[in-house]
Amino acid sequence: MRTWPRIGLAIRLTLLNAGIVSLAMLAVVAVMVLTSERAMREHLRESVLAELDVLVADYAIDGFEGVIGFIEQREHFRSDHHGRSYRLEDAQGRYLAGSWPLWPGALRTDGNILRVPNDARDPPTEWWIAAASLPGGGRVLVGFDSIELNAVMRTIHGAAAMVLLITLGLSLALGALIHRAALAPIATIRRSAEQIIDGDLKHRIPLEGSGDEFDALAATLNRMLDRISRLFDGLRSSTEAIAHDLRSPLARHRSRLEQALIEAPPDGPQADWLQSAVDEVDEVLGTFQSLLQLSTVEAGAARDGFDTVCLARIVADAASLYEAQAAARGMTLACRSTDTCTIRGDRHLLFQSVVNLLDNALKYGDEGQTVDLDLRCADGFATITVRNRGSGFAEPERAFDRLYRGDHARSAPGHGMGLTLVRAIARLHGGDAVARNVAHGAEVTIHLPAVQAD
Amino acid sequence: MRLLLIEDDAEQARFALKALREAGHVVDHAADGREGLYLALSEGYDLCVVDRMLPGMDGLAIVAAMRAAEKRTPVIILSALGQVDDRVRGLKAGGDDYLVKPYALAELLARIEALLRRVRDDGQTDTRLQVGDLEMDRLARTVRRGNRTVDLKPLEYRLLEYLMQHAGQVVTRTMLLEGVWDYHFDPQTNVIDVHISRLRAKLELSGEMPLIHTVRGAGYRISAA
Repeated sequence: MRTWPRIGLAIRLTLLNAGIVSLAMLAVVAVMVLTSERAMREHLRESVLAELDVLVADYAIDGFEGVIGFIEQREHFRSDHHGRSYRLEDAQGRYLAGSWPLWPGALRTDGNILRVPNDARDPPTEWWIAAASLPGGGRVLVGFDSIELNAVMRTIHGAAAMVLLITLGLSLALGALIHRAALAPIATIRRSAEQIIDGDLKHRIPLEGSGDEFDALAATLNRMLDRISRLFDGLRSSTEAIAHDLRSPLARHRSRLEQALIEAPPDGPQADWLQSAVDEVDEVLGTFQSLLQLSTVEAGAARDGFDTVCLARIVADAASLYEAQAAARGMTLACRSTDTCTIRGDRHLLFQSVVNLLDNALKYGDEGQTVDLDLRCADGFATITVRNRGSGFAEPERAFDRLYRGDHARSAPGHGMGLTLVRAIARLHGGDAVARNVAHGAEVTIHLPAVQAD
Repeated sequence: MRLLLIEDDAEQARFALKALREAGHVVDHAADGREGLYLALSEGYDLCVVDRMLPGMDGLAIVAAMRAAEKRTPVIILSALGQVDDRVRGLKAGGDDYLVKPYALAELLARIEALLRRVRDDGQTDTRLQVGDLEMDRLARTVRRGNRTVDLKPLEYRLLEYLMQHAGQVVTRTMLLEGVWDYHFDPQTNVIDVHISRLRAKLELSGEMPLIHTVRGAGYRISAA
C-alpha cells in the first residue's frame, strides 16, 4: 500500500474500476471481432465456391457461350469494394474468357481455395481463387478479391476501437463521479476533525440524514466526540472549580492578611511574617490564575479578538522589559530581530509568551552568560527562539507538561505553568512550541504562521 | 471623594469598604445590581467600583446603562474573568479600568487614585512635571534634578514620566506594565523592580533625598518627602 501514497482513494478506485470495465469490454469486443472475421472468411469462401457452382450449372445449360456471357457480365461490373476475376479454358487448355491472365500451377480443380497475393491494390489484398472442371472437358477459375473482407473488417475494427474508447471514457467519468460522491463524506469528516484539532471542540461532523454507512460512521464519531468532550469538560471544570472555589476564600484570606499588615507595626517581625504569608498566598493564587488562563487559552475563544500585530515590536518590548533583569544577573540579553514581522494574534498573550521564555531562560541560565532572543520571519512563518547557557532541560519532552518542574527548577520560584502557557498560546495562533537541549544550554522555539508581506 | 462600591460578596465588600474609608473616601455600598444602578444614577459619585458578576443585574449592564443615561462617572470593573478579551469587553461597555479578582486592596486603592486624577486632569497635559527638586520638561524630553541634568534612556524616561504623572500616589507594578509597556498581564516576577532600581540609581545620587519610595505589598510612589 505504501507504493500509492500520493494518489487519493477516489482516483485509485476510479482507475481500478475503469481498468476492469475496459478489460471486460476488450474481451467481449475481441471475441466479437474474431467471430465476425471467421464468419466473413467463411462467407467469402462459400461465395467463391457458390459462384463456381453457378458457372458449372450455367455451362450445363448454355455451354461455353453461356459461361462466356456470364463472365463478361460479371467482369463488366466494377467497384472499389469488389473484385472478381474469371478464366475459362476449353478441353485443350485454350483461353476462352475472363480477365485472369495465367492459370496458376498450384490450382487444382478440387474446390479448394488458393490464396494469391494481389499487389495491384494498396494496401495489398489477396485473391481467393478456386477452380472446377467442366463436364465436357475444359475448366473454369473464379477469383474473389478479399478487399470485401478487408473493408468490412476495417469497419468492424474501427467500431470496436470506438466502443472501447467510449467504454474507457465513460467508466472513468462515471467512476470519478460516483467515487467522489461516495467519498465526499470522508472529506467532510476530515474537515471536521481538522476543525476540532484547531480548538473548536464543540464542532461535530454534519450528518446528511441518508442513513448510509458514512452517516452511521459520522454519528458514531460524533458520539465518541461527545463522550470525550464530556470527560474533558469534567476534568476541566473540576480543575477550574478547584481553582475558582479556592480562589475566593484565598482572596478573603489575603485581604485579612493585607489588613493585618496595614495595622501591624511597620518594622516589627509581625510585618515580615504577614508579608511572607501574603506572598505565599499570592503564589498559590498565581498558580490558580495560570490554570484558569491556560484553560481559557486552550478553549480558543481569544481567536475572536485577533488583530494584526507586529511581532518584531512585541519581541523588542519584551527585550526592553527583561534587559535590565539580565544585567542585574550579570547576564547579557542578545536580541536579534527582523524589522517587521506581522501576524494575526493577541499581542498581550504573545507578549506573555516571550516574557515567559525570557523569564525561564534568565532564571535557569548560568550567571555571566548570554541569553539569545531571535526573531526570524521567512516563508510564511515567524520563528521566535530563546536560548540560554546552562544545565538545559532535565527532560525536554516534558517541558510543556502542566505543573511539571524539572529537579533543578523545584527550588526556584514559579509554578510550572510558564512553558505550558507558551505552547497553548502558540497553538492558539495556529503554531507550536518546541523545547530541546543544545550544546551547553536549553532552547525553546515558537513557530507562528505569519501574514505574508505583499 | 464619594465612591460607590457595587459588590455582592459581603466579606470582600467589608474589606474593601474598610480600606477605602481608611484612605479617606466616603463610600456607599450596594450588594445587588439593581440597587447599585439606582444609586449610581441618582447620586453624584466621583467614582464607582462595580463587580461584574452580580445578582439581579450583570455589572457590564450597569455600566452600559449608566453610559446610556449619560452618566459619566468613572468606573472600575472588578472581575474574576482575567482574560484580555474580557478586559476589552469591560472597557468597551464603558468601564475606565478593569481589575481582576482576587485583587490586592493596595492595587484597588492605587487604581482608584490614578483614575480620579486622570478624570481631574482631563484633557490637559502638563508640559512640565515637578516632584521636589526633580523636574521633567516633556517638550524637550529632559530631566533635571537640582542643578544637574539626569541622562535617561527612553524607557527610563517613560517610567519616570508615568511615576511623576502620579506623583504622591501609589503606582503598582501592573499599572507600570500597562502604562509604560502597554501590555496587560500580571508579571508575577520582580522584573519591574530592576528597572526602578536603575532609575533610582540615576535619580538619587548619594547625599540626595530619596524620591522613589517602595510601598510595601503595593508598589512605588514618587514624592519629595
